[in-house]
Amino acid sequence: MKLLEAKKLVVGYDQCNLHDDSLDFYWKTGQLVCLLGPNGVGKSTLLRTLAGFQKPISGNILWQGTNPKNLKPYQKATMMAFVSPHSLSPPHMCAYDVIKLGRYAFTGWLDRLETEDETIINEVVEQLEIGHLLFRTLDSLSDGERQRVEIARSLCQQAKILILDEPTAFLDLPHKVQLMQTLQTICRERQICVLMSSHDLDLSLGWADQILLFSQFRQISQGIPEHLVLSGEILKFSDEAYENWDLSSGYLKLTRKQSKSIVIEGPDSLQKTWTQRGLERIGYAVSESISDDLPIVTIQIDSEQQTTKWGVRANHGKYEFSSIEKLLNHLQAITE
Amino acid sequence: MRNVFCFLILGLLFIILFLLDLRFGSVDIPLSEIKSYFLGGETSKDTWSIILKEIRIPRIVTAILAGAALAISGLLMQTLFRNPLAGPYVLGISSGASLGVALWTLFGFVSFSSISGQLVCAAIGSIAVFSVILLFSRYISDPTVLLLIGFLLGTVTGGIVSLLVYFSNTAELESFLIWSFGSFGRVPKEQLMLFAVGISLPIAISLPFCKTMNAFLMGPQMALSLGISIDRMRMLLILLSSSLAAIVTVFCGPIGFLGIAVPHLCRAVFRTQNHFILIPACIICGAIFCLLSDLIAHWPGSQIKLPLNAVTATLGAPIVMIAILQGNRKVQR
Repeated sequence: MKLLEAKKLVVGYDQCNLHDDSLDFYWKTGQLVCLLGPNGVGKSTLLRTLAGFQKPISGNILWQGTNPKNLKPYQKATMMAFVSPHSLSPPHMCAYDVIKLGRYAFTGWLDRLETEDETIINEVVEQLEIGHLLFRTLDSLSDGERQRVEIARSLCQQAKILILDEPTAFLDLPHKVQLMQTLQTICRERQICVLMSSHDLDLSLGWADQILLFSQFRQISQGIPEHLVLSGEILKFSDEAYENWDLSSGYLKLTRKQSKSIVIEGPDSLQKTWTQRGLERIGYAVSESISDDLPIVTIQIDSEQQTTKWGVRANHGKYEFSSIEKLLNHLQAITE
Repeated sequence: MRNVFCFLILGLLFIILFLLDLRFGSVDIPLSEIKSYFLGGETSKDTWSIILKEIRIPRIVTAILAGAALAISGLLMQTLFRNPLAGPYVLGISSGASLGVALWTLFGFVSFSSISGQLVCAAIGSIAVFSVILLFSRYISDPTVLLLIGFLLGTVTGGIVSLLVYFSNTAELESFLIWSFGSFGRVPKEQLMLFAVGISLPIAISLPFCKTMNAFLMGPQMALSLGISIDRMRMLLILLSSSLAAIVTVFCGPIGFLGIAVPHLCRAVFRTQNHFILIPACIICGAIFCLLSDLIAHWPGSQIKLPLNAVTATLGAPIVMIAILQGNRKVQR
C-alpha cells in the first residue's frame, strides 16, 4: 500500500525551487526511509512539505491516497506525526505531559484520557523503555532521552506516517545506533512508514530500506542503499568530504599522509587490526608483502596469561614492548 | 493533593482580604455590621449601609474582576508569545486607551470631566490599537514580529501622549495623571454589570482551549503535528487577551505589573504549566492581588488614597520575585 506519495512535487520557498527536477516517489508500509545530503540542500524543506506544514511550489502530496490539503487539522494528526529538531522545554513540564500530547487529537476539550488512550501510551512507553523518565522534567533530560520522549509522543498519535527531522543530530554514536534500531523495529512492527533526514551516511546505509540522496548539485537520486553504492551514485553525496569514502566497507576511509612502510607479523586478531590502525595513525603504510629492508612489527599473544607482546625488528636492532603505546612511542621517536 | 491544598489556602486568603477590604477604609465598619448588612441589608448606621452599597462593594467587585481579567490576559499573552515578559499591555492596548483619554482631558473637555466621557475615549483608543493589531496579525505569522509591532505602536501613541501632556495646563494634566494612576473606584454602579459580563465572557471562552494552550507551549512545529490550526489559535488568543486588557483599561485605567506577574506567581506556586490549573489559579491570585492592593491604597484609618499603580508595583514586585525564586529553587532540587 502506498502510504506516502509525491507526484511531480517541487519544493522550495517563494517560487525558488530547490531542485532541478520534480520529485516522483512513493513509500510503502514498513519502510524506513532516510534523506541524506549536505546542509542546505532542502532536506527539512522537503520534510515539512511532505508533512503538509508548507505548501509545495507545484505538484501534489498524497497520504494514503488523500491530499492532506483536504483534511481537517485533527485528521492530519491521526495520519501523520512529525518530530521536529526544534522542540522546546518549557519549565515545570515533565516527559509524561509531552507523551500525553500525542493523544491530543483523540481526547475531548477536557483532555481526559480514556482507558484506550492509556493503553496506547503504556504500550509505547514500554516499547521505547522510557518508563523511568515519565515524571522527570524536560530540562533534566539528556538529548537522547528527550529524543525518545518526542518519538514516544509521535507514536502515541498512532499515525501511519512518521516524519523525523534529524533525529540523530544531537546523539552520541551508541544512542544513534539504538535510535535507528528502534525506528526500524517500530517501522516493521507497526507497519508504518518512517521518513527521516540525517547526516550520518554509514548509519543510514546500514539501516534504511530506501535512501533519498540529495546532491549539492540540485539533484536527487533514490533507491535502496546497496544500489546507490553499486551504481556509484552515493559518491554524489558531496564533492569533497566524501571523496575518500570507502565503497567496500561503507565507511569513511581515513586517508593520511603515510611516508614510511612497515610490515606486521602475527596472528589475525583484534590486536593486529588495532596495531595496524595505530601504525597508520602515526604515519606508516602497512605493507602486505614482506621484504628485508622494511621494519617488521611482531605481535605475540599469550592466550593463557592474556598478555600481548609487541616487538620491532629493523636494521638498527630488535626491541620488545609490553604495550602498544610503548611500541608506537618508540616508532615515533626513531622517525624523529 | 498539593494543588487542592494550594487552592484552599488561596480561597481562604481571598475571603479574608475581601472582608478586610470591606471593613477598612476612610471609615471603619465593624465586621458584625457587615455581616448583618449581607444577611438583612441593615446596619445600625445608615451611612455605613450607603458606604457599603454605593462605594465599597462596587469597588471591591471591580477589583476582583479587574484582577482576574489582567492575570488571565497576561497568561494568554505569555502562552501565545512563549515569552515570560509578555503581559496584557505588550500589544499597546493601554497606550491606545491613554491616548484616547489624553485627547479627551487635555483638549479642554476637562470642564466636562464626566467619567463616561473618559470611558468612551479610553474605549475608542484601545479599540483603535486593538484593530490595528488584529489587522497586522492576519499578515504576520511570526509572533515576535507582532510583539515588536505592538511595542512600536505603544511607543508612537506614548509619544503623542507626551506631546499632549507638554502642551496642557495644570488642571488638565492633573485630571489625566489621576486617570493614569488607575483606580477600582471609577466604574459607575450602573455599568458594573456590563463590566462583569465583558470580563467573564472572554474568560469563559478561553476555558475550552486550555488543552490547546498546553500544546501551544511546545512550539509551533509540535502544535502543527498535533493537529492545531496555529493561525486560528493565535488570532483567538490575541482577541481574548486584548479584549480583557482593553475592558480593564477602559474602566480602571492602566493597571501595571499585575498582568505580567500573577501568571509567574501561579506557575511558581503550583509548579505547573497546565492551563487547566493555571487559569483558575490566575483568576483567584489576580483577585487576591487586587484586593490587597486596594486595601493598601485605602490605607486603614487614614484619609489618604494612594495611587493604585504605585501600590501594585511596589507591593507586588518583591512578593512575586520571592515566589518565583522560591519556586525555581524547589524545581532544581
